[in-house]
Amino acid sequence: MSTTTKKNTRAPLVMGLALATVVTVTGWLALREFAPGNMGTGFLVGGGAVIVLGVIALARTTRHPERASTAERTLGGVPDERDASVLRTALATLGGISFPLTAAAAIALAVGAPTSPVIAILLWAELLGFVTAFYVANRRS
Amino acid sequence: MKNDVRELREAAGLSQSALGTALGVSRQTINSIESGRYDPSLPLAIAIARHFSTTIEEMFHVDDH
Repeated sequence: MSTTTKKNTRAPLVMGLALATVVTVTGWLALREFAPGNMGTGFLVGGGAVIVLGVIALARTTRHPERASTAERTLGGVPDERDASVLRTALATLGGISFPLTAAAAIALAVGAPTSPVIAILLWAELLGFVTAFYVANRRS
Repeated sequence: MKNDVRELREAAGLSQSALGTALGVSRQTINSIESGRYDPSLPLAIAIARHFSTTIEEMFHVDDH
């Protein structure tokens, strides 16, 4: 429930950011060597964006917790109960839209659509759905 | 669900931020509770009631309409 109380919630987050950095660099190196196209670059940019956002959220919630947004507190590891509720709603929405999106992707692949663009569109559609659901849930609650 | 949190907070001369800090939640959460967009959990509702030396029944009202 706490937002401003500084529990020991930072250590897991810092460890998570460190792990994300290792996974991002390792994945980038592996995909650059073995995967087709620019998958390695895409993985590096995506992973890097998450890490940068995590660091920003960590800094904002540490230095100015009263000014942090719902997303910053959530990503910074110090969500209060409303932030957690917003995240649950967004994740539930993501779960709900994943089924039809995956079905649509499977149908597209079955009728001969190229694999890489279909998977890329699927990932972006899920990301967009999650961000939109988070925004809407945050505005409505 | 309607509530008297805003009235109680203003009567106590507290800002939303100050009340949020006292209760361990964000200013946005206090604002959402006051405007009726978010119903607090039972532990938080009890904490708010205790903070203003009242009861949940006196502070929260079911919106029948």
